Amino acid sequence: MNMYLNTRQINGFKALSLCSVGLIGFIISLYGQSDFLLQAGDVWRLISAPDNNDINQQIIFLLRLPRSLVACLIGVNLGIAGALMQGLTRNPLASPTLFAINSGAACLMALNSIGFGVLTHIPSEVATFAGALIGGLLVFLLGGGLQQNANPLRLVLAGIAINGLLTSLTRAALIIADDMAYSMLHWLSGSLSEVDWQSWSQLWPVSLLAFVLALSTCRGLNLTALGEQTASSLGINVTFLRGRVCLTVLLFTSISVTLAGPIVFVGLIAPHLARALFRHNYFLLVPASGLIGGALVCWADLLSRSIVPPAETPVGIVTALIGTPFFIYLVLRGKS
Amino acid sequence: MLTIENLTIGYAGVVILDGLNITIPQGKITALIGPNGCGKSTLLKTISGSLKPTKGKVSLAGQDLSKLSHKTKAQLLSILPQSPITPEGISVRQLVSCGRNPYLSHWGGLSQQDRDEVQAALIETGLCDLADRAVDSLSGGQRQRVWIAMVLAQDTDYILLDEPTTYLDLTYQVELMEMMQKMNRRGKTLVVVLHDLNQACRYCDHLIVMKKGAIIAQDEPHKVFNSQLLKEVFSLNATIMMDPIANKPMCIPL
Repeated sequence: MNMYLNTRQINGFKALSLCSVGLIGFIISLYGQSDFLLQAGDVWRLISAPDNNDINQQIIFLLRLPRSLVACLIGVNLGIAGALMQGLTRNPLASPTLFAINSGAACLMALNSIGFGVLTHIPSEVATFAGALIGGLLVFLLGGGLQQNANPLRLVLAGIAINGLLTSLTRAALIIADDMAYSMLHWLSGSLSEVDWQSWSQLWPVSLLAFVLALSTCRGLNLTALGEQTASSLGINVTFLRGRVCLTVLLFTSISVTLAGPIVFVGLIAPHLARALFRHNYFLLVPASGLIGGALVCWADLLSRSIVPPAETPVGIVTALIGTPFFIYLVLRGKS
Repeated sequence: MLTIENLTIGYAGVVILDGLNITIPQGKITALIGPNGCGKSTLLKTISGSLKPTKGKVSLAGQDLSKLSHKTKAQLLSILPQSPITPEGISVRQLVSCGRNPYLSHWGGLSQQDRDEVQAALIETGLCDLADRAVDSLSGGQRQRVWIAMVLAQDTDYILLDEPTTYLDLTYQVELMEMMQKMNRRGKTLVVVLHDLNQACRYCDHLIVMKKGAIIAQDEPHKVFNSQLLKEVFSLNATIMMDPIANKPMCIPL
């Protein structure tokens, strides 16, 4: 019993440390690296003595706060989506990117901006979200998501195929519409610079729904870790579980990619770090992956503004710069 | 009573099980024997519902199993697959607790009764001292005991085991067979895929002999186990003697 309490306390300590790392990043990102010389004191005054005429407070409230909130929540979304994907496929290299959600979103966004057919008449956010869903669903259906006993490998292969198709379509669109290429490329690298309060109000309800769904799949994922046949013998409807997990990942990733473009590697790294800290229990892994993902994107966004100020490096490039060495480390460790 | 009627399963034009009719006697240990690839594992998977039959049905006490919910079915019948996966770092107690899943409500945790059942399963399998150890740090024989404990915690009347003795040395094989007999004495009905024919005869009450997706014989060992059957099913020339200890038939290849 003593042992049990101990692990609980240790886990609590780990969770608390994660929260503090995230929170520190969040607070610094509210005032750090600004042309207006914002200070931590401005953040404090915004809370303690809000003043509508104080320009610094206004910048923090109207620009910095929504951006930091969205950055964190997108990180949370991608982190959890990655944990769910890895749990479902029992493949440590699976990530939400696999679902062709990013490339689907990019494809329809590109087609939308060059004015392709009916796509001209709908707002670009809607087109992007639809693209994300279409890409994801295509992979899910081709990957045998509705079949019994579908091989997780089939999902991976379907993902690669659909990704390839959609990426080449996007490239074709970019070549046709040369003048749009810069803003498209900026979006394609994953950028938080366009984010505002409206983005936040689109993001949080979808994320909340997906989070509840994610929690409802935790026990199923814990048992799937014993093998699908064992899970099924223990009363888990594996086909139904797979459908729910895929839907959850779709929701998490689609809304994130719509608002900030594809921010890569977060969905791969966050669950790995979470697993190193909290082992195999998805009831802990899911929130932990979310926390790590949130902290990661928050810090990456802060970094993205500090590399060559006042210009912004797209945050997706920063996460890729952090993620690639980590990915190589994973592959090398897997070999030994 | 577990009955299987006209069970046919196949894919891509290949028939794997062809119109099987089987009755699994209640409260007995039934061994499924037959050469590699004869469809034993497929049959077990179909009974447990993880494979859907093309034709026919599996029913338990007159009730069609495919009509039951996954959860209800998991309270009646459990299966231990041939190679279950051990998640990295999971403790013995945590793994055994997984067996209680069919009894949990969707958002609920383990109740006191669940914990008691888990404890009982640990005592039964002699794993109390190892309860907080990581399963992947245990030996093969101990690990198999953990899986058996999980099935015990699931507390179903029917238990299916797919080649539980594979990769175990003889000591653990015998230990496992004796554990099965102990479970059987408590009223459990067991169906076991076995490769060792002499073990099947010695420890099991009923044999189902399969070849190429069909049933060749099903009855008590001393009624079906003879040299003619071995010749027909395994293409093996063997003589049958009575085991002097257990007084059950045993074969000695010639």
